[in-house]
Amino acid sequence: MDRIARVERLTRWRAHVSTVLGIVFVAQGFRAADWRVIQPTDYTQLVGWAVWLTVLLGFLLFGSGLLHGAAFGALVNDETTAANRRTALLAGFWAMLATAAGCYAVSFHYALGVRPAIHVIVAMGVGVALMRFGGLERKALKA
Amino acid sequence: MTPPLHNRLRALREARGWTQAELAERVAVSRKTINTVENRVFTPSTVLALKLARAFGVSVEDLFWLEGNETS
Repeated sequence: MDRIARVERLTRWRAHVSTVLGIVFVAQGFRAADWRVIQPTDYTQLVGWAVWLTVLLGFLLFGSGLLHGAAFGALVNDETTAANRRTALLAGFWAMLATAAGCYAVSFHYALGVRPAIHVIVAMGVGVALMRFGGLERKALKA
Repeated sequence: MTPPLHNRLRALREARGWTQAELAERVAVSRKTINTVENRVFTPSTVLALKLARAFGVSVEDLFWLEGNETS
C-alpha cells in the first residue's frame, strides 16, 4: 500500500514539474538576444545549454522512478504512462516539424542564424512534449 | 473507429470494499491506471484486462464489453 502511495507522489510531482519545465523550455527557446549573430565561442550560451541538458536529464532520471529500483520504476512507468508518453512524444514531433517549417519560411525574409534556429526547434519539440505529458498525467490522476 | 469499451470495474471494486489503491496493488499497476480504466479514459492491454478479471474472479467478458454488446 505504501508503495502505491509513493508511486502516486512521484507521479504527481512528475506531472507538475513536466508542465513547468515545458513552459520554461518553450519560453527560453524564443528568448534569443540576437537571432542572427553567430559567435562560435559564446561560453555563456554553452554553459546555459549544459545547465538545460543537466536539468532535463536529471528530471528524466528522477521522474522515471528507476532510482528506487526496477520494480518501483515499472509501477511508475506502467501502461498508462507509456501511452501518455507516446502521445506526448508525437505532440513534440509535430511541434518540432511546425517550428522547423516556420524557421524555413522566416529565413527567406530574415537572416536567421543556424544556432538560434536549432535552439528554438529543439526547445519547442522538448517543451511541447513535456507540457503535453504533464497535462495528460494530471488528467489521469484526477479522481 | 473503435467502439467504446465499457466496464464494471468500479461496481465490482466497491462491492468488495477495495479502494483504487488496493486494487492497483493487487494487479501491480499505479492507482492512476485503475482510475483511467474505470473512467474509460484509457483502454487497458489484454494483459491488464486478464489481471483485473483474475483479481475479481470473473471472466474478462464479465468485466469489459463493447458498446451494443453487453453480456449481462
